[in-house]
This record gives sequence, structure tokens and C-alpha cells, in this order.
Amino acid sequence: MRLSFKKKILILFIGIIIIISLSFFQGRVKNFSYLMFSPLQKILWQGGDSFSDFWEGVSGGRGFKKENEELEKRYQELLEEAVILRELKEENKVLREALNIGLQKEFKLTLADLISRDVPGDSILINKGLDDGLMVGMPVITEQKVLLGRISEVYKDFSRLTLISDPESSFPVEVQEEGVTGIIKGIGNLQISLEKVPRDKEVKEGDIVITSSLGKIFPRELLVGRIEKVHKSDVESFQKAEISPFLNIEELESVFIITDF
Amino acid sequence: MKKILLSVFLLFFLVLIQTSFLVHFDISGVNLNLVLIAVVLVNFFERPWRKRGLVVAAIGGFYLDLFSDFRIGVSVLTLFILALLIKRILRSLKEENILYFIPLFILIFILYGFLLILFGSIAGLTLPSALCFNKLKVLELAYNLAGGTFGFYLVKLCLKVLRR
Repeated sequence: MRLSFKKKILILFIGIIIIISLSFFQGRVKNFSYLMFSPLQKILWQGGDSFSDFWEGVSGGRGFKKENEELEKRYQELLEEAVILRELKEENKVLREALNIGLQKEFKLTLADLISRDVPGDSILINKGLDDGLMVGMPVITEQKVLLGRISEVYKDFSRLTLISDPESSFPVEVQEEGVTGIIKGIGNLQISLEKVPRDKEVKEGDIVITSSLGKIFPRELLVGRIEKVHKSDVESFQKAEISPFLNIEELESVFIITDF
Repeated sequence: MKKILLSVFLLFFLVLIQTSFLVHFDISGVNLNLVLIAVVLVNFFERPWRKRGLVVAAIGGFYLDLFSDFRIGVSVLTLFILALLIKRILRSLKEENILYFIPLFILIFILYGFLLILFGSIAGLTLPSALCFNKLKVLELAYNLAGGTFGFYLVKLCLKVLRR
């Protein structure tokens, strides 16, 4: 069946009208499609998670011997640390009870499941939305108080979480051990960097980066990442650092949204 | 019509796999864009005067917009223009050769990033992270090119079997 030029133009015109109309109601259109397909996406997310664990186990098989020796050595070191940590844990437990500061007591939280990740993009769809009291700007964390990002779009039953690795994302932090402040900037594809650290301040590899209360974007002391490499130059007044972020969405199935802090 | 309906389902399946399953198989945070690969492959193997590839590009773009924070229409327009470009380039090529496919894929991948930035900013969006050019972009291109090359041989094999 060959279409005449006029019919082709008409079809193209109808197509453009449909796209523009859908674009005006995109909140509803997107919410409806997520509602329809999120059960299937959830199954695929969980399937991918299990399969990637299995695949890592299979593909890592060749290096087992060497890895085993290294682990044996590390085990000895960790045993020593474990003794110290056990004592600290007991102490911490007592203190937490005394101060009444569990995660849920620290913040008002809502639990949500991950549905999908945008490709391309550093954002994730979660299964809680406007009806659950979510709003744009709310911080999202993991069970271990690792900062993931902020809610950037809210639909009726779903929301989109923009990760801290998004290039549009930047927020103040401090280096835990040194008390030095800086800015975390997203560089895309789940990667972040530490910037605006004064040159005269000392930061080193392995230091933990946490959120600071400056700017009031995120609550204080949420875990962000670990310093991998420090870049210091005599001609620049600030130093930079490569960060290994704690956010690991591959292993995640659910997250906490801080609705009040 | 049957082929278009088949692509509607196939692309839908691909976008779900891309956003929910393949997320767990990223390399340094970089993921495969199965829809882009499929659109390039369909248009590469289709005769340049046929129009089915354009419809596939629009459908693929619609799914990408639906399952991302883009405004609906941004990816539709991007992929549609890229499909037109592939068809234009292929008019001067006589065979389905991997030596043509690789440079074409690289060109389309780079233009895909540029056009998304352009149309995204016109639509008033903040720039999607994966569109910013840094060293990870090269890794992303390499990963997607590997996926595209695999797809190229897979389609060639299927066509060979079907033509027998």
C-alpha cells in the first residue's frame, strides 16, 4: 500500500498533534503507564539483581585462589578490628538507647521500592508519589544512611529520584576525619567529585565524606563517599578529589525518603 | 503493518529490559541504550527508500520519553531525525558492511547526545547527566558500540536464515 504525499503529510501532522497533546498531560500519561507496567519492571529489577549476583560469582571464579589468600590475610586484620568494634557497638547501643536516636527517630521516613533507572540519565523511578506525601526536594537515603539524592519529579503514585551523581547536582559536604568543608558535584554515570576544598586544608585518601548542614539541602552526617585520589595544584586556590560514592543502586531494592528533618 | 506492530512490542520489551534489568550490568555506571541500538539497526538494514524505520524510531523515542524524565517528544524528535539521517547516508552505500556500520554508529551516538541536549534545553529541561561529555562518555560509546556490533551480526544471521 503506497500512501500519497498528502496522506503522508496528514499522518505526520496527526503524529505531531498526538505527541504535543501527550506532552501537555505527561504527568498523567507517565503515572498511568508506570502504574500499568511497574509490576513487570519490579520483577525485572529483582531478576536483574539476582542474575548479576550469580554472574559475578561465576565470572569471579578464576581469581578465587589469589583472592582467597588475600581474604585470609584481611580476615586476620578484621578479627582484631571486630574485637574493638564489638566493644564500640555495645557502647553505641547504650548511647543510642539513651539518646533515643534510631534512623526512624532521627527523621520522618517513607519506604519506597525502586522500579527503573533512566538510560541515559542519573535518575531512578520509585513507587511512592503525591498520594504518599512526597514532594520535590525531599532527600532519599538507604538503610545505612547513605545519601542517594533528591526527589526531582512527583507523579500521583510514583516519583523520580535524581541521584547525587547527576551533573546538575551539587551540595556542601565535610570530610569526616578532618572537618574540612567542600562541595560534591555530580559528574554523571553514578560518579561524583569533591571540589572547592581550600588548598591549605589537609585531606587524604580513604577519608569519609559526609553531608554538612550548610545550605540546608540535606540533613547532616549522611554518608556520601570515600576519597580515592586528591588533586592539588600550586596554581589553584582549591583542591579537588576523586570520590568513590557509597551509593550502589545495583544492590538496592528499596530506599527511604526523608519527609521531614 | 504486522512488522510495525511487532516493533511496538519488541521496543517496549527492550525499554523495560534497558531500564529495569540491564541496570544491574553497568560498567562504571554506564549502561546500554538498547532502543538506540535497535533504531540504528532497523534503519541500517532497511532499504533507504522504505519508511518503516522512521516509525520504529518514533515509537522507540516515545518509550524512551515515557520511561525517563524527558518531556514527551524530545526523544521522538531526536530518534526520528537520526533515522532520517541514517537513510540519507545509506543511499550512497551499497552493502550492509560492518565497516560502514561502525563509523555510522559512532556518528549517530554522538549526534544523539547533541540533539538530546538541544531539544531537552528547548523543552526547558535540565541536562540529563549521561549527556555531559566526559571520559565516561567514551566508555559509554564503547559499551554501546559493542552492543551494536553484536546486534549487527545477530540481525545478519537472522536475515541469512530467513532468506534461505
